[in-house]
Amino acid sequence: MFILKETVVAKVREFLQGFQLSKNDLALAGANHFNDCGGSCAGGCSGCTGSAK
Amino acid sequence: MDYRDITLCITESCNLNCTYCYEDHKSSKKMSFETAKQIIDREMSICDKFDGVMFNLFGGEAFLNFELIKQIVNYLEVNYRDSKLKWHCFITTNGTLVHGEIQAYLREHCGSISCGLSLDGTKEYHNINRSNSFDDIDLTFFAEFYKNQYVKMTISAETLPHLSDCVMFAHKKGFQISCNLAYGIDWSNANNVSLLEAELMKLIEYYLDNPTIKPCSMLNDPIYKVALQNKEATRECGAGHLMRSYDTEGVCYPCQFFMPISIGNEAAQKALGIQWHGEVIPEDKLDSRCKNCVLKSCCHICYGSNYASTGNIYIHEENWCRLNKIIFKARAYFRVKQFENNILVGSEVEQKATLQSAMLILEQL
Repeated sequence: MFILKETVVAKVREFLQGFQLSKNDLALAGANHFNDCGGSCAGGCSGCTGSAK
Repeated sequence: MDYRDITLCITESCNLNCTYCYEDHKSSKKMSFETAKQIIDREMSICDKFDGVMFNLFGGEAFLNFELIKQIVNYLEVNYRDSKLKWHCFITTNGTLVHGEIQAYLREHCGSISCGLSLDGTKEYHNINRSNSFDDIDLTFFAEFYKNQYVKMTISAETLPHLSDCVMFAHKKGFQISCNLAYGIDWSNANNVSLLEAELMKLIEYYLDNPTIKPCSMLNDPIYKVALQNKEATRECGAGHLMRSYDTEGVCYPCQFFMPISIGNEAAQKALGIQWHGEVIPEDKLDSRCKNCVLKSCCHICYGSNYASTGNIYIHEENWCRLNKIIFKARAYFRVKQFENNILVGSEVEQKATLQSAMLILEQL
């Protein structure tokens, strides 16, 4: 399950050519926000339900 | 707006008995208004990096203490109306008490308080998990009044074979979905692996066919930190760091999983002595199985669940870990399929980070 065709892998590799992710890129994307748990814990904080809207 | 998450356990009682509930020590204890006021004043006086405070009013079932909810909201509205530090109240509820007077109150105070509903799927499967409570919920109210709010869907071993049906049902009712496998239950049955794979593949096909529907969190949560080359294990959860949870007596815990209502008095007392880390998890603390795992920079470690099941916040339960890896593989596969179908969203950097991460996950898991 979850196996990619070789043609798809090649297309992705071509798109990624030369790319290197930096921590600065992540900071710009707000990736360190602790509420970004996406509901993966069992609890009931607002982070679990995508923060209160 | 960046909120500090503060949980107040306002009642230790619940009117349901859900099959997977981790609160094994419920009682009739309720928080007093005096205790709630002290917590609010303390939290609202702290100046830190956050723009506001999110007061999560939690239970048990929080609406069993509706009087305190009204007192808390009124206290905040009167005393902190013009506060520089913003605030909001949020309640995760089983929905069974949200009718009539409570609905009217929520409508009237919608600027101060909002709700997230726990909904486990179709009537049949919701009822298996959640004490036959489906017919007691006004789904229309939640779907219309909280249309941007995610419902919280918990998957048990009994409902795993119907995961895709449950998710698609909730979407048809108009909900966005935050879903997770239940913690602290027996996931040891070897069939769970193939069941989860098959259900996630059905969901992937559903989302590829319906690209305007926002995918459930199980498939949509970010994976892009995997592409970082230093591969530090970092936090995805603020427990023991920036989050705080207060029990009915006003004692502060890392999250509600560490409270007496969840793990009993003795374990909760011991938990107060845990030495917590900052944003990066120290390498020497990591579970040996995590040290070389491709997911260690983005795995959603639930410290509370780990502590409850193994007595150590860093050591996770083996069967849950196996299923979690399948979820990440499905997420990675889904991202590549979105790219193939020209429906992968985000900036070029985000797309590349996601795809590089996806390839690493699919190669190494």
